[in-house]
Amino acid sequence: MVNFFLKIGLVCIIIVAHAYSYAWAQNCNNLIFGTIKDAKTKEILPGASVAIKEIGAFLVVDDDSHYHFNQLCNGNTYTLQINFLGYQQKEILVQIKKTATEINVLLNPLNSQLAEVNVQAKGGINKLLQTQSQLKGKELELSRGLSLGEALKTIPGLSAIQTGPTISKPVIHGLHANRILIYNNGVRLEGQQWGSEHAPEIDPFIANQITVVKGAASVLYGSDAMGGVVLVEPSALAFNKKLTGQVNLVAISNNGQGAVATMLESAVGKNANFCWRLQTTYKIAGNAKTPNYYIKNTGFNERNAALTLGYRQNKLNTELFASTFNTKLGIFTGAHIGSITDLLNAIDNEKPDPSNQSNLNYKIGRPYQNVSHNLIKLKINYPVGDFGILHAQYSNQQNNREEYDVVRGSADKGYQLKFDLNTQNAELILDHTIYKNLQGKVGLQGMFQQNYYDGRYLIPFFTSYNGGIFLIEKYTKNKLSLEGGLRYDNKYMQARLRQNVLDDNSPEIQPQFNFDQVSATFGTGYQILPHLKWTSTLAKAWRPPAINELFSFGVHHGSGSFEKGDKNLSEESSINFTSGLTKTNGKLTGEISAYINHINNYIYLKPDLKPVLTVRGAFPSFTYVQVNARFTGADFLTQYQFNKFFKTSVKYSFVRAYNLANNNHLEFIPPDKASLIIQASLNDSKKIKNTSIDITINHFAKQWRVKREQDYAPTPNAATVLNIDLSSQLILGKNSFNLSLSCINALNTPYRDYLNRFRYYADETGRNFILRLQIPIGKGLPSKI
Amino acid sequence: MKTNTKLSLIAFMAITFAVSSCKKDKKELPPVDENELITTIKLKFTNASNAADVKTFTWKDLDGQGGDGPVVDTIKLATNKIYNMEIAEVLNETATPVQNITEEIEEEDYEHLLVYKPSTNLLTVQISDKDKNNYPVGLMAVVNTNTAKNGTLQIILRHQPGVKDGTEAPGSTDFDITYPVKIQ
Repeated sequence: MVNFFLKIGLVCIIIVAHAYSYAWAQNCNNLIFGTIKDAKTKEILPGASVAIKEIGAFLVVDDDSHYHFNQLCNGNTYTLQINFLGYQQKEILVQIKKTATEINVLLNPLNSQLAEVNVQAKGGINKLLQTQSQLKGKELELSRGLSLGEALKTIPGLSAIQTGPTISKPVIHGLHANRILIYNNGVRLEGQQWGSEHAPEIDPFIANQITVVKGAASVLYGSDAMGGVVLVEPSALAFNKKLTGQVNLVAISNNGQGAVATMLESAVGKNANFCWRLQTTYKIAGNAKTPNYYIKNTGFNERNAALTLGYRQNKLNTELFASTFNTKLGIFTGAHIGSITDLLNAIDNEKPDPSNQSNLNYKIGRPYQNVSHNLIKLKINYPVGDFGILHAQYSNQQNNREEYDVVRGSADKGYQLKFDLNTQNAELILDHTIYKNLQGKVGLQGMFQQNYYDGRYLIPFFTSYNGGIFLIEKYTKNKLSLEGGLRYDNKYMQARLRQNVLDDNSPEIQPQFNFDQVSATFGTGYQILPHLKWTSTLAKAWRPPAINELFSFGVHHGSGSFEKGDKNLSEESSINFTSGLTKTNGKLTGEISAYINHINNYIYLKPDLKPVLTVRGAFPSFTYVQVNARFTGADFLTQYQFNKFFKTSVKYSFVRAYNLANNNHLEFIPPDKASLIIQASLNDSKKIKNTSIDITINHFAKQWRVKREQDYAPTPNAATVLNIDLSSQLILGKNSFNLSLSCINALNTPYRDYLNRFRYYADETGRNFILRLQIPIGKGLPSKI
Repeated sequence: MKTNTKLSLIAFMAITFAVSSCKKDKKELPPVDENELITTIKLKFTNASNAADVKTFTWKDLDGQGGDGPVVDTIKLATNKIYNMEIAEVLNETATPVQNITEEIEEEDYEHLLVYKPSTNLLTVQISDKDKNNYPVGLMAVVNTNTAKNGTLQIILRHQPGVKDGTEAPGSTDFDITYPVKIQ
C-alpha cells in the first residue's frame, strides 16, 4: 500500500512540474447557456437535447427548457447541435469570447418530409414530475471510491443500511431493500436484494450521473418501486469522438484501499455510425479502522468491467452492453455469533474482544462472501415516423452469491450457502408525441426469474414470471404540466421446497402464487416564477411479498434472531403523496419537499413473545407479519451564494414511521440528519482552476422514538462528524486533471450508526483521508457537464 | 428496412418469452445441510472409586432449531464423590448416517473449549485434558460433589479458530446447554 501512495505522490509531483513548464494555457472555464423554444409559439421544449460536437458533451434540457455547458475554452469555436423530436435539427457555431455566452435557440417544427433525425433526441417523457435528486459533477467525483449506498448518503432523504464497513444498501425515505429499485444502465438490477447484508452489485464508476427518484414510481419502473428508484446512468455514447478516456485513481488511508478505474471510448469509421466504450475497475481494501482499533476481517477486493458497443444506421440506433461485477468481501469476525449470549456479551463490551481486533492487512478469512453479477443487454431504438421512438430492450442477468461461514474443518469445506439467480427482462416502449403539448410513453415489460440454492436452507428454489403494461402521458401548457399514468402488473411464482425444510425425507411441495394489481400516478407541476417550480405527485404502488418474507426459516446469525416466513402474506400496496418547491437560480437556491406514504399490509418482522430454545441457547423469535403503516417526512436543502467565493448549504431530513396497529414507531428507521456545508472557492489561475474547500458538519440525531424493548441495545447516541474536501483542477496544455483530497471524520469521533446492523459490535470507521486523481486520455475534457 | 426491423423486433420478443417459458425446472432440491447442527449431547460420569458406577445423561433436540423443545435428562450424582466426567458423544442425529461431531472436536481440540458453569456451591468441575498448545479442552474433567443440593450445570462449547487463548471470550458458541442437577 505504501507503494501505492508513493506512486500517487510521484504522479502529483510530475503533474505540478509539468504545470510550471507550460508558459501559457487557455482559459477553459467559460459558459454557454440558454433556453430552447418553439420558433412560432415561443413555448418551451422540455426534453430537447443539446450537444457540443467538439467535446462530445450532451444533455437533455430540464422542464424549464434551460441548458448550460461549462469548461469551454476562450477563443475556441464550438458547434451546438440541438435536437427535438418533431422539430428540425439546428446547428449553431459559437465562438467563445467572454465568460458567459447566452444562446437562446428557436426550433422550427418539421414538415411532413422527415429529415434525418438524430435518434439520441428523446421524445416523450424523459423525466417524471416526481421529486428527484442527482449526484453528478463535483459531488459525484467526491464520492469516487465509495460504494453506491455510501455515495448516495449526501442526498437529502437518503441514508444507507450497513452491515459493517463494507456492505451498504440505499434507503429512500425510510424504505429499502425490496421497496427500492436500482436500474443499472437501464436494466432493473436483480440480485438477492431481500437480504440486508446483500449489497447492490453495482460499480458506481460506470456512472456519469446517479438519479434518485424519491417516492413511489411504479408506473414507469414497475412494482416494487414503492420507496423510489436509483438510476445509475453512464454518459451517452460518443459517436463523434476519436479515442478518449480517463483514468481515475483513488487511495484511501483508513483501510489502505486502492482503486483504479479506467474508461476508454472511441468512434470507429468515417460515417460515425459505430463506437465502443470499455470500462474497468479494480479495488482492493484491508481492514477498516475505528478511532481506536482495526476491525478484523473487513477487507474486500472488487473486479469489474463493462463493454458498450453502439451502432447507428439511418434512423436505427442499437446498443449492446455487457458488464461483470465480482467481489470478495470479509465480514467482521466479531459479528459472527453463535448464541444470543454472545450477542449480549458483545453489547456489554465497549469494544470488540481483542481476538476480533486486528491491524491493517488484506487477509480475508471466514466469514466472507463471494459475489458475481454478469449482465448483457441489447437495446434498439427506432423512430416511428413523426409519432415517436420505439425502444426494444432485452437483458439477461446472472447473479451468483456464495457465503462462507466459520465452521469446523473449514479448510476442506467450500461454501455453506450458494444462490444462483437468473433474470431475463424484455421490454418494448413507445415514446410518443400525440401533439406538441401531449407526450408520453406506452410500454410492455416482461421478466422471468429462476433461483437455485445449494447448502444450508434459507430461501427455496423458485421460478417466476412478471408481466406489466403501462401508459403515461404528460401535458404541458405554458407554466403548467400535468402527468398521469396507469399500469397493470401480474406476477406468477412457483416455489419448490420440502414440507419440513430441515428433514431430508420430508416430501417436496410446490406452492404457487399469483399476484396482480394496478399502479397509478398523477402529477402536477407549476412554474411559479422563472426559477421557482412547484410539483406534486400522488401515486399508488404495490409489491408482491418477497421470497424471504414467505419462506425464511432459521437463525439469522448476524442479528441473533430466529426468523420465520409466512406463506400466506398478501401484497403490500401504498398511496404516496409528495409535494415540493424547487428554486434553481439566483443567490438563494434550494428544494423543499414533504411526503406521506400510507402502506397497507406493510410486511415487517414482529418479535414473538416466546423465544426458540435451541442447542445454541435461547433465540428470540420473529415472524413476518403485515400491518398498516404510515411514513411521513420532509427533505430540505437550501444554498446561499454570498459572493463569488463563499457559499453555504444547509440540509435537513426526517422521517416518521408508525405501525398503525398499535401506534408505535417502527424499528430501523433513520434518525433525523442535519448537515451544514461551507464552501470557499479560490480565484482561477491559468494552471489551477475550480479550486474549492468544502467543510461539512453532519449531525445524526439519536433515534429515541424506538422503545427500549424494541431492540437488544439502546439506540446509539447522537453524533456530529466533520468532513473536509479539497478539490481542484490542474490545466496542462489542453488537458485538465481533477484532483481532490477528502478527510472524512476529521476529528476521529467514535460513534455508532443506528442503521448499521453491526452497531452492537463495533464503532463506525475513524478518520479517513481519500486522495483522488482523474487523468484524461486523448483530448477529452473530464466529463463535467 | 423499416418492415424488416419491425418484424425482427416482434420475432425477438416472441423468442425471448418462448425460450424462457420452455425451460423446464428439473434440478433436484439439495440435501438438507443444516450448518453445524448439533442435536444430541451425552455426558458420561464414572465414579472414581468404583469403575462399575457409570451414569450417562442426554440432552436431545431431534428436530433442530425451532419446532419441539429439547428433552433433557437430570444429572443425578451422589454426595461427596469424585467423578471422572467425559463428553461421550456430540451428535447430529438428523443426518443419515448419524454424524459424530465428537471426533471433529477431538481432531481440532486446539480450536475448541468447553466451559462449565455449575450453579453456586453445587459441584466443581476441573478440566483434565489439554491441547497441543497446552490450553484446556474440556472433553474430560474431574467433578467433585459436596452436600445434597439441587441446581443446574451449564455447558458451553466455544469454537475459537486461530484465537484460542484458554479463556471463554474469543470465538463463537457451538452449543450452550443447561442440565438440571440433583446431588442426593
